[in-house]
Amino acid sequence: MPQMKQLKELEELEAAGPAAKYDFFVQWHLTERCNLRCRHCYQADRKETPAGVDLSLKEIGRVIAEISDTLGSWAKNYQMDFSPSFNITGGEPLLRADLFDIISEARAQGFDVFVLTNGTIINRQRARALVNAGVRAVQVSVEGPEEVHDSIRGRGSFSQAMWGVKNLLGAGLTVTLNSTLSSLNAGRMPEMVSLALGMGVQRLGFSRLVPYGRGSGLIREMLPAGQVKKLYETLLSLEIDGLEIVTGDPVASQMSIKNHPDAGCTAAGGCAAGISGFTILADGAITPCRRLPLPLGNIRTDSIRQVWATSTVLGALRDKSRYGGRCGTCRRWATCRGCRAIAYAYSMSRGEADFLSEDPQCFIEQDEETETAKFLPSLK
Amino acid sequence: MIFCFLGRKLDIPDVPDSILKTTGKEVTGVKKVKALDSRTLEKEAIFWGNLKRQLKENPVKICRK
Repeated sequence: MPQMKQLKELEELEAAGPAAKYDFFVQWHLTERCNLRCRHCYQADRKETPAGVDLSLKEIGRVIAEISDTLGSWAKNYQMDFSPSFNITGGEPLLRADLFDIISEARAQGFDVFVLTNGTIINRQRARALVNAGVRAVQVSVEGPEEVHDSIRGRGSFSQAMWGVKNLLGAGLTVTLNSTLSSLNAGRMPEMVSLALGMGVQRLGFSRLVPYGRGSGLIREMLPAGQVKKLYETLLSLEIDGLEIVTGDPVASQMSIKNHPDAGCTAAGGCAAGISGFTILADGAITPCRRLPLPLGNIRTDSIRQVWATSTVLGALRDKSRYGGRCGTCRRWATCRGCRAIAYAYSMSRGEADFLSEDPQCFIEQDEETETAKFLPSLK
Repeated sequence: MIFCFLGRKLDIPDVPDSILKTTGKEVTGVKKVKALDSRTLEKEAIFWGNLKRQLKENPVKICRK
């Protein structure tokens, strides 16, 4: 009796009372068009679509309203208190002539808006327009000092990005510099800290290379797990006045939690895929994550609520028993799940294409095993 | 525009607004949002119910930048 089961769920939810604010975000790639051709771009597998394929401003307005209605229904039915937001990106989102109208519409519907950009075409007027539209913060991708950055993103792109950062800061915006970590730049990260301080940005962030799209050619540049660990330990332990070190990496989020208890089989933290957001691509395709290109439907034809509840891909992402390797047996699974995009891209490079395989760069569980092994002899 | 960076004077040419020409095109009349059936509603209730319980018992942070 499905309806009785559902009723019981709702009664239990009501008894539980309102939850704390739940961060729910949609990453929206407004266009595939870009003025750069970065060596590591995960988007580049998608053909740069002609502008006419992108969702129109009118369609985007309808989608924003649908997402708002969906969150409203979930909030009402399940007493969830959401903190909703959009990460607006591309391609290069500043290439959309109607970007500022889109941001204004999202703000008007109650969403926080963050913009992810390469920074290279942000003049003073556009920086001010971002402020006026209500953008909360801007992330600019910077891969290292000039010669490293230009070798990855193209000659001259570093100077242009710094010019954009200066204009953003001049307009009063909060700016994050974000680097994608690989062997191409790992040794130069201390210089990134100096650069961030020198530019006066508020945050410095790190992601790991996803060997997908054009980035699939950099599979050999993925860092070994031990090197990722050392880098994160160094970078995340920095305490610098006025500069926050951040990362969206679920594995990094585990570093501060020692002796993690078994968190069970309900995913609720770490990787956001399938539990606290989704991605919309320029042509309306819906995917679990910006870097995990598994189509769940299309926003032009499919209902978000229907997709969220019934997608088999999302169902698998939420099911621990479906996971392979160390992730499938990890007691941190519910609060981490590793990076599903890296797991997928890496397994694909080995001919398996399994988005539920283990995160090949995870070092956490290995550490705990090592610590246990060290402890065991003293018990004998 | 002259931009000073690390003691160097860089001449960054301003980017004309003509580069901002991408806009989308509306595809009309294809989306039909139907009312959710009871099976879908049940799945939805189970998802949010489980998540809410987990958040209450084991508050954790979602990773995002």
